[in-house]
Amino acid sequence: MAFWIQKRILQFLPFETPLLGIFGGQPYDGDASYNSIGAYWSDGFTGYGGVQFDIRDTSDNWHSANDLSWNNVPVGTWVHLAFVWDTKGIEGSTDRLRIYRDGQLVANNSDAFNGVFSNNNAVKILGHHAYSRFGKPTAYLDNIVIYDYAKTDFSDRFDENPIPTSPFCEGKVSAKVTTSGFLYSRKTKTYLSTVTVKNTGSEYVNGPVSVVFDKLPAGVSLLNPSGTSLGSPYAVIPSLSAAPDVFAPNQSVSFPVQLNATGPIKFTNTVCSGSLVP
Amino acid sequence: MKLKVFIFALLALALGLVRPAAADLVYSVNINTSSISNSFGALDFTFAGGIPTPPEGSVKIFDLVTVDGLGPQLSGSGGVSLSNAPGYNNYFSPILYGTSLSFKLSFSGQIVTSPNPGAGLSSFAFSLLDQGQNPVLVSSDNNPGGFAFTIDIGGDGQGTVTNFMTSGLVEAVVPVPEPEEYAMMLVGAAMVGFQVRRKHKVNQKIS
Repeated sequence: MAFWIQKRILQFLPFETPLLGIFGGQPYDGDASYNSIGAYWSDGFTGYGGVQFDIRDTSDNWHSANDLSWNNVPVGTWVHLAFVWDTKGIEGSTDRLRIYRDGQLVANNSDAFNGVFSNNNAVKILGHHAYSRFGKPTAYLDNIVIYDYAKTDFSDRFDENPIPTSPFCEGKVSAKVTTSGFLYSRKTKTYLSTVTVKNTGSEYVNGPVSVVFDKLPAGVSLLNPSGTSLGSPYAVIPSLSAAPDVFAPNQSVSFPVQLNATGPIKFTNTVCSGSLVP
Repeated sequence: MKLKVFIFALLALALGLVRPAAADLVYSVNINTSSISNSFGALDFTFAGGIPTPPEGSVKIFDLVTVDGLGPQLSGSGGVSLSNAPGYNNYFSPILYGTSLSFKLSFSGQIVTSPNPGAGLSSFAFSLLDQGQNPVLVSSDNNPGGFAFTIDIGGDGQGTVTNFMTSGLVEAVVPVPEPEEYAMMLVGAAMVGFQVRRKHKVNQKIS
């Protein structure tokens, strides 16, 4: 089974973030619904941590391959995952289970077993921990392909969207951003400007609302950013910093910014409502 | 014949009534520096465009007078010009402060003649500094940069002054027509008058 997956959070924390059932069932869902072949993103308390691929054999024993380096995969990047199994050994090797990431073998298991435990449960695709759900997905899945043989060469895989260069936000706001000139202050040794954001959409937007400063040239940085999203600094608009704050259509808000710069200042921008993926 | 008269009248009107499309934005700055008189320091002028990039424009600093002190030689209409092009556009000069300081600023170019409402602002800042380059004679309220004043040229081609000085004034100078413009208006008015009189005489002869 092969597919593309994109993490929406960096790592699961025991009792804080839900476990993600990638296919086969939901961790903690119980044997009644859990399939005999499955994979999930474990938190190290349940499971071994990272991406875990399990097979339950005919003797009711579980065999696992674990990709612990999964926790280093960045958020917001499409990666190709493949779970491969062959009870007779994959490609003539002793490996019965393998995990491939972006075409590279990253985990395996060579336990010998004769067959897979038989049940008629449906194979679920993407599911959350039974009692700790998020209101939003912790991963995206795309282009799922199931093969009837133990495929190991994935060089022919479909190329999912290239790595996004723009920051991720929960919701993009239709807005026009303008700034005053970037004035160098000898007092602060920085460049100062006022950013003005106008809601050009027809919808009311709840705070927090942030402006992402994207594609800043080398040598230019935003001072005291509220955070960074995929490497781009962003500033939460002070007057729209919390949920009760409302950004109305045609409303304009302004706030000061300070930048360090060793060359001309330029950037593109994204206006986001809600939280941003770090 | 009537067409000829009509064209002549139009030309006269154009000469007499049409003034230049837009005049420069001029500001006069007067600062009482008596409290720091006889101390050394520096004057800092800077001009920069925002995002999106505004139309091209420049500011000229001229008619600078330091009473009882020694300032940069920016007397007369020559002065120093700074553009709003991306980058560091700055004029920095040492000064021996006297009892007062005055100068004029003239903003010109497309930021005034063809402003773009969708573009960023072009901003000018002036700073009065002591020898250690610390701001003097300014309020620190809402003034993290320590500027003496700023002028933002907006998408309507107009300027907005924010004055942080404790003893200084920044005033817009109402444009006064140049002598040549007065002369051109007089010529135009004379041509219109001549044409009206000529037509009146022709009408009298016919009747």
